[in-house]
Amino acid sequence: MLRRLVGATVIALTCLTTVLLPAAPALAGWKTSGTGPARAQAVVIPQAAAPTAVKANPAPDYNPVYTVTWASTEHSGGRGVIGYQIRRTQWQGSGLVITSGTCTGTTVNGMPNVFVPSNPEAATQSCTDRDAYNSGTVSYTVVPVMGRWTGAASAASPAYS
Amino acid sequence: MKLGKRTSVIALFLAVLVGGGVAAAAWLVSGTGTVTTQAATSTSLTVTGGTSSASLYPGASTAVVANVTNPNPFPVRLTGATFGAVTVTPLAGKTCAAGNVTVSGPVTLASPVNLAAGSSATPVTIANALTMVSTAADGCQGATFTVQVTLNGESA
Repeated sequence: MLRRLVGATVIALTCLTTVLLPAAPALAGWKTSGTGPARAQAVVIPQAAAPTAVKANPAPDYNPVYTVTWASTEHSGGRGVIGYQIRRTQWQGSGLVITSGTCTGTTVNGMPNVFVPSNPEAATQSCTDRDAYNSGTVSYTVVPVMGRWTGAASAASPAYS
Repeated sequence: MKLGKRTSVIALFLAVLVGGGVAAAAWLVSGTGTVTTQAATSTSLTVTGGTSSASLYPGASTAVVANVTNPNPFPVRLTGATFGAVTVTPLAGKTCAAGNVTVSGPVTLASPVNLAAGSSATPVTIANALTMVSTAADGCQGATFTVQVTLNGESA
């Protein structure tokens, strides 16, 4: 009689286990969803810092060689921009494109004369201008570039002669 | 007597099998019914636009952020997302078309997000949802990109 009772209990537990075990994954499977807006924001390219320049002395060639240096520009996402456009102001005018030296740069994403530094995250960047005139003074401005985005041009460097 | 025991054991075994089968069948039926009932009474998650730090620029992919509220009486684990149309809010005086970004296909969340039962708005970040084309227009600087997202989840 006792054995039958034990057997019946085992059977009852077996049945309950059989029934209840699959219930857990069934409960975990309730599906739900929701639709609405999610947002992302684009960075902003700030104004570049004003550059400085050093004239090579003695000049290695007929034209003077200026090495232009400026603090790297970081966009509002905290990374360095990928390039810069360097412009010269001399007696011929302002915003002149540099046509000789590393400041000349290349065309990047349709943007002409972009100087692309080897390390955009470096604290400072520099390039050379090899086609400034000997007469008068020269000064420089720098425009930060990110793709086709540009920041405001820097203030002009001091004038050099 | 021995035959009687054996018969009893076999009978009990059959009873277990049949009973279990009936119970399983009953559960399967009622289980299906239960799920249907739960689905009918559950409420959709509420999704509103979140606040994202500026991180999108030409050639880059970025996450989007949504605030998700779970009004259900059970916790929910968010497992994936799909995306819809994009709208752009450029800075004042700027112009930026939605075509300056591309939208990711359906994504599985690398780290599922658990929402407590009845939770209030919780920021949910979905990585690599948008990619800006490398030739994006200058007017897209500082713009806010809003994409319709459907977040999928299940009871946790």
